[in-house]
Amino acid sequence: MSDDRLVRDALAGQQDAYAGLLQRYERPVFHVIARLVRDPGVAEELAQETFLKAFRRLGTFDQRRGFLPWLLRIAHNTAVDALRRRGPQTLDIETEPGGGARVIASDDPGPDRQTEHRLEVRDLQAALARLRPEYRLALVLRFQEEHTYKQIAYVMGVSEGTAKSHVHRARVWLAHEMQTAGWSGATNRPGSRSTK
Amino acid sequence: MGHDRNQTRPIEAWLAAEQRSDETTADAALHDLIRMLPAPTPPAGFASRVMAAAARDGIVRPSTHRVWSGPTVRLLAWCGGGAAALVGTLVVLGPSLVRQVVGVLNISVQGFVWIVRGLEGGLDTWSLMAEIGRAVGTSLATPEVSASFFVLELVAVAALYTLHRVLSYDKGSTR
Repeated sequence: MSDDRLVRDALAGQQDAYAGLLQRYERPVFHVIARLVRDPGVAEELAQETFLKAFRRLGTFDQRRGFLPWLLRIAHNTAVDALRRRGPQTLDIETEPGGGARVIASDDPGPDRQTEHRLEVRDLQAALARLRPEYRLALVLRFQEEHTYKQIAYVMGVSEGTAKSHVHRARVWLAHEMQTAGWSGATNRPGSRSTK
Repeated sequence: MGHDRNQTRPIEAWLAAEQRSDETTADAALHDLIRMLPAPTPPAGFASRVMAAAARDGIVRPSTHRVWSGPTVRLLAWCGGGAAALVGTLVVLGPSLVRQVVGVLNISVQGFVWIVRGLEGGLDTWSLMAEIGRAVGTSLATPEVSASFFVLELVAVAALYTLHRVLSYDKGSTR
């Protein structure tokens, strides 16, 4: 069932339609908020607030924008307001419950490669957590949630050029952090991390 | 996405591309790398807690209203109710209405005959109209006719209210 249909049904008072929208988008909403705020408990509270706001304003939803970008914009604004109230904080993803790298190898990469991969994920998570919140969010929306620059701009309330700039700066900064952590583009296998 | 020892890994490809200032390759390699990272997921029962909060705040109706929440069901309910009210009204008032219609026809015929006779007997127009007015007034003043008019007015008001509700609901559901 399309998002527009679910929204129409929800406006007509169908509880199942609200539940459908919630189940479809709870993950990206929570993801975006959790990338902006530090505490998973606060992220849950803000994600709930986001959905309640969205349900109240469902009549103002503009179909041309798409439901998810509209919802993520509310999530972004809710999280940014909370950050302003609490002061700037960053999310340490390594401390999240259930956090851990996905198993991506279909063949057996061997213990060296597995260790290397764990280190790679750990360092990347740590560098990502140190990024400025707006850069981190732009990067996550672009590469993890796979949104277009136009959608990222709408979600973050900036111009498309600024969204591109955020992603570019985040990428360059992250590369610098990874190189500082001992990673390089040189192919001194096995692994490319120099010992520190 | 397996790892061959001779294959360039995303982190190597990304950092090498950054060193060469190769934006396109750097973007693609970082995309591959970030896709591997675990995304924070909502805790168990999150959706249920949100729905409970929405019901508590009056945003979402309690599930007991679910049966009557579908647009088709509501429309059918209104149409069914209207039809039942119409049939009930006709069953109760039908015989009385038939008698009234027959009575009106009878009076009309008698009145026509009386008018013709009156005109032949030299009755003037004003006297004729006054007699007709009195006759109509006398027939309407009976309890049966008054009650019939009152009930018909009630039915009309109920029908207008039902129509208004159906049209309002239709407008709301297509917003």
